[in-house]
Parts: sequence; C-alpha cells; structure tokens
Amino acid sequence: MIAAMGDDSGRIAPRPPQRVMRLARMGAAHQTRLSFMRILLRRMMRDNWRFERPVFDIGADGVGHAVYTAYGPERCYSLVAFAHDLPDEARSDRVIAEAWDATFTLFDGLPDDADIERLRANVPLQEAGRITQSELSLSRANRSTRLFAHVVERLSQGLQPDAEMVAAVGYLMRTTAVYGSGKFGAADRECIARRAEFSAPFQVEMLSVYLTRCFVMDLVEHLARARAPQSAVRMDPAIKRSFSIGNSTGLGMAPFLVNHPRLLNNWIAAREEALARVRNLPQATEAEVAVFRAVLRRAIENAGLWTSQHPLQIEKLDALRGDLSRLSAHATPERLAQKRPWDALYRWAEDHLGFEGQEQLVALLLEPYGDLVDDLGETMSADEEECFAINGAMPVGRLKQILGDVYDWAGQIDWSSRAANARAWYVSQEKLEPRLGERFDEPIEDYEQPLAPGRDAARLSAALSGWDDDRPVAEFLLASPEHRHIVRRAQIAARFRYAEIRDNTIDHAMLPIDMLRCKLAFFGAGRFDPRSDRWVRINMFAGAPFPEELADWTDEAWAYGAEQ
Amino acid sequence: MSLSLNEVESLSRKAARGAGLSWGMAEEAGRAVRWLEAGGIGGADALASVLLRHDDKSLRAPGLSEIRGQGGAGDLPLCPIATGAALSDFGLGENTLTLDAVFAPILLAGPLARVAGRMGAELEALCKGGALCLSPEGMAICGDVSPWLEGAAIVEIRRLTGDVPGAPNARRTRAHPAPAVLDILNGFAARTYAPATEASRLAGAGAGPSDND
Repeated sequence: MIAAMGDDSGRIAPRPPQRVMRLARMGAAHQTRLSFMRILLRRMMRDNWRFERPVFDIGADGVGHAVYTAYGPERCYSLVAFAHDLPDEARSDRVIAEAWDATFTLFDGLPDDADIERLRANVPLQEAGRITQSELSLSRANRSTRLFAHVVERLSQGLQPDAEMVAAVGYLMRTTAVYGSGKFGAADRECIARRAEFSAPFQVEMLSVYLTRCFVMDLVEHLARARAPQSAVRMDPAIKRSFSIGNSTGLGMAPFLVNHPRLLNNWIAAREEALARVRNLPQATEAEVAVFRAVLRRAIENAGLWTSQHPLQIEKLDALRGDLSRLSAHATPERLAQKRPWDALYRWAEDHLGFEGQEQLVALLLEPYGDLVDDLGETMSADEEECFAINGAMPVGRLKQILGDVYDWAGQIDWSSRAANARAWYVSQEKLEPRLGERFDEPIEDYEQPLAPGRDAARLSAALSGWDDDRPVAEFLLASPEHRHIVRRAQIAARFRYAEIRDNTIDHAMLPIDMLRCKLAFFGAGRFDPRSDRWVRINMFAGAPFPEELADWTDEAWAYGAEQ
Repeated sequence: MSLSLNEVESLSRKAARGAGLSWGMAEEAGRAVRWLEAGGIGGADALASVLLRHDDKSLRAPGLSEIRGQGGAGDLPLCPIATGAALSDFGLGENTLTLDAVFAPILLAGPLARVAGRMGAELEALCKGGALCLSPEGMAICGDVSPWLEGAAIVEIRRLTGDVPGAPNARRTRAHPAPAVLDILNGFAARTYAPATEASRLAGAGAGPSDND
C-alpha cells in the first residue's frame, strides 16, 4: 500500500488495483471524459467531420433503407440502415431473436448499388447472414413501442412529444447487439487499428451507434410527415438532443473484460492516471472550480432523472443522490481554494461517500481538465499479440510470488465450499450465447469456459507447491499443460496491474451487472437500469449534439444532460 | 468461405478445446492457425487433421529431453500444438534441434517465428525437402511445404546461417478454409457448447419473457 501513499517525489500515485479492481466498485463506474463516445465526439468536432444522407428510401410504412455517411479528414464511413415492418409480438431483445425493427452495418467508404443489394440480402439476417471486409460492424435495434408511436403521433399532429414520456423511456430505439472486430465476416480490428480515427477502442461501434441515432430521429419525423403532411412538424432541437439510443446488454459482454486483460488494464490505467494527475494539482483556479461545480450540479440533475425498477439499482441511486448532496455541500469554493484541493476532496470522499459517490466524483474531477487528461485516450487500445507468449524462462519462484501479489485474495477463499464455486460460465448450443449457470444444479460443468481466474490461480498455486523455485515455468507447463491458461494470465497481470478483476467471478453472490456496468461506463453509457442481476438497459449519446450542431458545439460535458 | 482472422482463430481455439486440449493449449492452436492463415497458408486445414488425430489419441506431447535436443522419442508422432508451445516456452539453443516425427509440422511456424523474434535472429526449419525461414518480420518459404500440412515427418530447426531466402510471404487479412475443413472444426467446436434447456434459456441469460417497453 506504500505506492498508494505517493512516491519519493511526493506525487500521489494512481489508486492501487486492490482497491480499483473489485466488482462492487467496478459496478459503480460512471462515464468520464475518457469514455469512448466522448472521445469520438471530440475527434469529430476537432477535425470538422462532415455528414451526408445520400439515400433515404423509406416508405410511409416505415420500410426501406437509408445511408448516412460521415466524412473524416482522410476517409468516409457509411451507416447502411434497413428499416423493417416487425409485428409487436415478434419483438425481442434477446440474442436468440430472429427479426428486428431495423438492422445496420457500418460500411468502409461509400457503398454502391451492388454493395447495397449484397447487404440487403445479409444484414437483415444478422448472425445468420455474412458480411465482408468492407463492413466494420453489424447491429440491430428495436423500437420502444410505446414512445415511438407517441412521438410519431404528436409530431404528425403538429405537437412536440410529452416531456415526461420522453424522460421516462429516453430512447426511440434500443440496439440489442453491436458487433465489430471481425464478427460474422466483418473486417478485423487489425485492418483499421492504424487509422487515427479508430485508434481509441470501440470507435467503429460508437460511430455506428451515433449515426443510428441520426437515422432514428429522421425516421420518426419522416413517419409523422407521411401520416399528416399538412400538420406534421419537426422535433424541437433540445428535445431531440435529449433522446439517446437505448441498449439492452446481456451476459455476452461480461466475459469480454476477463478475456481481454491487457485491454481492461489500459482502460482502467488511463482513468486512474487521469485521476492521479488531477489529484496532484497544487491548486485549482476559480474557473476550474466553477466548471467542476457546474458539472456537479448537472450530475445531481442527472441522478434525479435516472430511474430504475430494480431493487439493487434503486438502492444504489438513493446512495448516489445522498452522496452527491453531501459532496455538493462539502465542495465549497473556499475548500477548493486550498492546497491540493482535488486530492483533499477525493480523500474526503473515500471517508464519507459510498462507491457510487466516489466513482461519480472521479468522473467529475476530470471534467475541468481536458488539456491535462484527454491525451490518455490514446493509451486505451492494446496490442494483445504482444503479451500472448508465455515467458517460459521465468523461475517457478517468481510465478509463486506473482500469485501471492495479484491473486492473494483468491488464496483466502475456501474453494471447497459450494458458495465459492456456485456458478459456471458456459456457451449454449443454441445461438452460441454466453450464459451463467448453477454448477451444482445444471449439467454444465463439462462445458465451463475459462472465466474463473481466482479459482484457477488457487489451483495453480497448489500445483506449484511441490516445485522447486529455481526451475523454469517451461518445465512446469510441459508437465501440467492444464495450467497454461492461468499461467499466461498471471504473467500478463504481473506486467499490467489493472488487468485482473480481484473478485470471484463464479461466487454464488456475484453480480454480472457489475462487469457490464464497468464496460458500458467506458463506452460512455448512462442511466444504467438493470432488469435482473445479468442484463441491463442503458442510454447512449443522450444529450449529444447532432451532426448539424457539431460545428458550433462548445458544451464538453454534454453527457451529463442539458444545462438547466 | 471468407473468414476474418478473428473468426478463424476463434473457431480454431474452440475446436481445439472441443478435441480435448487444455484451454491454454487451445489458445496456442488458435494463434498458430491465425498466424499461418495471415501468411496465406492453410493453417485451418492442418489443425483439422491434427484434431482428428487427437480424437484417436494418436499424437503425443514432447518430453523434456526431446525439447532440449537430448534425444528420446515415443511411438506416436508429436502434436505440433504441444511441440510449438514447448518450443516457444523453452526457446532454442545454439545447436540444430532434430524432432522425430512431428505431425502437420507447418503448425510449428508461428511459435518458431515468436522464438525468432525473441532471439532477434532468423531460424530455419527443414522438413521433407522444403524449408521455412522464420524471422521477426515473418516467414519465407523455400521449396514445397504443402506436405507439411499433413502426415508426420522429421523436422530440423536451426539458426539460419546464410541470407534469408526470398521475401517474406505477403500478409493476408482473410482465411479461406474449405467447407470440409470448416465442418471438421465446427464439429469439434460444437463439443464445447452446452445443450440448451428451457431453464438455462431463461435463467442463464437472465432475461424475462418480454423485453418490450
């Protein structure tokens, strides 16, 4: 813990992984300046991206296709959208669904007619179709039945949508999956990773969702006009901006964090370094304090509007609101005029606020300091190939030491207990969907995925106990190939301190939504609304400027909602 | 069918696991296949024949003395995945390493390129009259290495003494395995999937019966 106190120069170090990489805290993560949606919007504004809609061929029945093209400094990308006529009873957000209200792909460049026909034969099928290296993503979305109908109805009558209904749902369509990185035939990330616009993680997926939001807003206005050409009106820009794209995220995302340890490290390390930089500032200017307090006010508003039916989230929201009100009372301009004000505030929060409040504060502390922290966005990608090779020359003694350092928590768990082993992650035959089952109640153990690093580290530790410290890891692995996976992880975790979640991912009380929330917060999502312990609804791009607003847009903190 | 390299790696990893390899070894299989396919060689074909042999239990892992070049052999041919992993873990000494009867030895190429990268040297693998030169930059082929995709043969591995013979293979971004190969790999991969039950369909993924607002 010495590292957490600061090094010889008196610099406050980033928070230690033992504190940061716990599921309860990861499950309280909030979007920050370094979230991928915000990185994308900053780039599009800075580089003056231009947007066109070369095709909008959609009938009065809402069926047809449209193309939205985003022009960056060197290349352009087109969202190809197919709108369908889906009966209400066929609408499902599950991965096992087979039809959707709209389906999409992000095309690399500008598609010609032949491309569109090829895509029309495949994109609406989603997983059952095939796309090519010309496509960068594959996604689909379903309408929020109630709100979609209401908005079309009101606009067609010359009226704006009811503010309360808009606030209650927040989106007109929710994506139920956004696939990138070589899935279903799409281009591999390696094909585009060197392009500046895609150097940060998940920029393809975020661009696709951003353009999807444009499409959905155009679609409702189009349907209102088709219904009543004489009376229909366009949506008020401020109301329009309040709409997000919803997203329904299930278990499929949770294993991602475990399967990409170095990437997870880079995300967390960027945020923690940003926090450390701000905490180390000797003082804050009045202008910086004003920005912080203004964003805090918006976070309070946002927490007030954030609703959920789930008991766990209701509890968390109460805690967040209480924390924010204490924070607001404590973070006075007088206190923030003192030396190292942000560090003092953060340390106060650790003593007086819960995880929700502490992690919201982390996000808020970065807001006044774009110049100081935004460059860290460039460090959030990862070359996973580089850390694949196992260091076979490492002495067994060093590996034992790593297990003690990184997986000490796992050594304290009684792995012979049913509670500690209660769950198993597996992939279902049907639709190849990742699932979490009850190990002792279901016939799934033979199919278990390697998603329990804590247990595997404990097993490795036991297997190593008879081995001489001086012998190389290569000899151990030749004798015990079943430990190869966890040895690789341990060596990665030794080099990248935030690579490993320091909690039992198969415990009976583990909440997959904690893993989902951490990942989705890095995307930039808000208003997390869990529908069970293993799937969550979120909002994406709520408050974001539309393409026609980007040129004059100055509000960097759009993700906290409109300024009141 | 045109597969992305992510797809061919992921399918290979799952298939190897389905054929009974440990998860860590299955990861090696996926990486080895991806590396070959990116070099324009049918790594997926080679893996399919390896996994069929695994299913018969007719391949073996190398022993310590074999990997150290101190001889020793068994009745069965060596598994190229286990052998490649061991070569990657142990590295190579100064002397030529001769391995008796490696099955589908083309799958050693990726791991050996990794070793070459770590040594900052060029390595040469010789087998059945063909040669592969592996350098930190990639792979150059001399002669015909198509027999390396199946069957077992003696492989010699040594530091390259002369010039690198020719330019490295052009990098590809797609893999094109034959339908029969895909069938084999998909068949093994399917062994990793748990049969669905209605209970798991609902509880496992955690959704309720209706998702509509």
